[in-house]
Amino acid sequence: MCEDCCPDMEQTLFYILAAVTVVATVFAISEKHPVHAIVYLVTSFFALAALFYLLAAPLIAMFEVIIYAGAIMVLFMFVIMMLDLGHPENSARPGFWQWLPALLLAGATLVALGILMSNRISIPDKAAVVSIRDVAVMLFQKYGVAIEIISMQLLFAAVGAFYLGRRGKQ
Amino acid sequence: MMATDFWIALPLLLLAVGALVTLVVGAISRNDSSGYIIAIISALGAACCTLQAPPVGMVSTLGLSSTSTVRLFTSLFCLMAAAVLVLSKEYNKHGGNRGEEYPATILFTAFGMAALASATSLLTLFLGLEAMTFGFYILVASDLKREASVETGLKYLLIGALSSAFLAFGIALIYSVSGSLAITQAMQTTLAGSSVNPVAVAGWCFLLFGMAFKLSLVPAHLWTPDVYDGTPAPVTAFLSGGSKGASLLFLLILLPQAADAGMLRLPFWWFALLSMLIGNLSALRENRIRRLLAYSSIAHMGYVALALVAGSFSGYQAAAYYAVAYGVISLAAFGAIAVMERNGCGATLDDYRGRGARNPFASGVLTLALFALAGIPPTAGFTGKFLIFAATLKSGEMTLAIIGMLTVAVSIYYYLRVISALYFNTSEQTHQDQCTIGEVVVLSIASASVVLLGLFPARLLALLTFP
Amino acid sequence: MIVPLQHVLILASLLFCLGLVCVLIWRSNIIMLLIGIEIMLNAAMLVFVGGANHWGMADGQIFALMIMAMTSTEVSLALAMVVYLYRRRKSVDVDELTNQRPLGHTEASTDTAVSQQP
Repeated sequence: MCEDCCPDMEQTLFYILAAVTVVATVFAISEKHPVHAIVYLVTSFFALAALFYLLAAPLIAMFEVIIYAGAIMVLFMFVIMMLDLGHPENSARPGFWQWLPALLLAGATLVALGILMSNRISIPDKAAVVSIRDVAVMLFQKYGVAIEIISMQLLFAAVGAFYLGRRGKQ
Repeated sequence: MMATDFWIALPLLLLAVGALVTLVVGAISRNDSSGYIIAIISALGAACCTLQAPPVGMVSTLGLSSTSTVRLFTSLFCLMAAAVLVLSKEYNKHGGNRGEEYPATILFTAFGMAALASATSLLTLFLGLEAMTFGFYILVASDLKREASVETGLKYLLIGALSSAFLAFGIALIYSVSGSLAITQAMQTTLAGSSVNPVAVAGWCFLLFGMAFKLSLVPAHLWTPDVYDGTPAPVTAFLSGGSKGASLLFLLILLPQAADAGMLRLPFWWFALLSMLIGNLSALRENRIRRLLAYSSIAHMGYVALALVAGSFSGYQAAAYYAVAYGVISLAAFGAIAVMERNGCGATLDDYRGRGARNPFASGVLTLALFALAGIPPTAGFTGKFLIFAATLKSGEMTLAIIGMLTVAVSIYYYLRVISALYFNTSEQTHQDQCTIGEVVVLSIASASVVLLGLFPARLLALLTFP
Repeated sequence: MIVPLQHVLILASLLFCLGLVCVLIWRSNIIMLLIGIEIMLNAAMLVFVGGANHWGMADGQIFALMIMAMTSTEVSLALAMVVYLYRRRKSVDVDELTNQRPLGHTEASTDTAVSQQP
């Protein structure tokens, strides 16, 4: 990607965006107010989309912005607004004793993952560029069945939501 | 080539088209039973299609396989869907739960299971599992009259989404090591004995933890009793038999492809030990029959994990046999519970007192199913446990096998408690419950299969082949 | 590949753990629970995209795309259920679900689950 700029700059950009993603996510999960949490999360997803672009997946980057940051987060926002959940004052922020086991567990997982991942770099590194054409050809030829399954699932998401939302037809 | 593709995909097509037609017909006609009839016909049609062997075992263009194991499980899932539809028709009519969405969703769930069964890539496998689980989210919440049903659905959805996040992360790590989503290649690279990449180890940890949620193995089992308790009874039959069977099939598609699955022995060892102990001991002090069966299902998944510890061909075969047997047994058990609940039976053991006299047929089926779960010959439960313990002993896991047998002995106590409640307490009222013809046919076939599978396991075992 | 795959994996595991922390600490708030699961799935997508870049194959990107579609179905159904329950309950607290029992409590519950069947 991005042939006109030098690889050093791309690398620096990667680490900056990685930091933005992690920091925004930390803010999102520690935020008491759901609306603020979602705004932080949208920031994090934008940075993640830029990371996807740097990792030579422009299609996924676009869909990340359109579907995640656009549709799913707006859906959350819509439900929060509709149900008027934007007043967290009456609900308690999780205390230290709720944080502690979570942090311990996650810290242990992270340390284990770090040890597993850092002690050996044995994965062969071969560079190749995946174009959108490659993705499209593979998507509709090799993984045609997957498209059918996911489209049925999307249909039934609509069916299920309609079913749960109906009133009066009982 | 086109004809072969079509032939292999035919069961999937029938289920998908059946679900769509059910939705369309339900929107046009005011009568609910037309939707059920169309759904039953397409499920049975899909089951019939799988009986005929296709000309080739696998087509590369679609990435679907069609070995004898795949066809056996596909037809099992389709038949189970048809049976659950027959049971649900009366149950839902009685409970005032109307709508064509229910039969269509059952077909969609079976579609997910069939897609999982015939998958040859990790993507199709994962999506099949997710489609099936997604169908269950809707089915668990389908009883809109009761808030508890939707609550249970939401709870199941949150747990299911969490487990699919673990599963997706595990598959992602495995993919980042192997560079391929094809199951054979991914398994050969990531389960290659001692020289395995540490990232692959991490990937397998996440994948197994995600699957432990789906199979309700012990560190991830807490959702099971609540979900079994709050769900409409026919859906519980499908959930217990079908979803567990399909999740086991997920592992049975992956593991036999491995070059050396010795790495997974340890996690399965602990899963088996904890599930057998905690499942059976918690069931001892349970007074609600569905929660009791939920704990019993945790214990049974522990037995299956025991078969996976063995990691040999006979272990995989025993696990697959047990998946089939447990599916049929839980269909019989929860089918009988559905019939009794439709006739006004409550949820605790006390409500089941004297049911043996009021509803001899359903009580008989329930008794047979409980005998099978307890592992009493000549039922499928006995043969399955025999195969599992034989495979475990052959692989040298003496301690675990002995603990397993002791827990089986303990489990007989709580199954007998239910049976004694059914028969040895005569109630004052002697009015007879009603069973429809459909329920009688389904429960009779299920009970006959429980006995026949137990008596003649060789025919089934011959179909269960692993590479 | 602009950075080693290891760095992508470490970033992804950081994100996954943050998502896990979110799920564990906000156990009682369904919206925050779902957000935590979204973060975890995004970590999985990052691994897939990094892997696809590393191996030069499109498989990983397709898997990431499918994860996106799958989560959107799950979120829409979950939120439909939340709306349904909120209409009747005026609460989206997991602890208040199913007879005021938190997830996984095992004591015998009151008879609301089945006895309302006619």
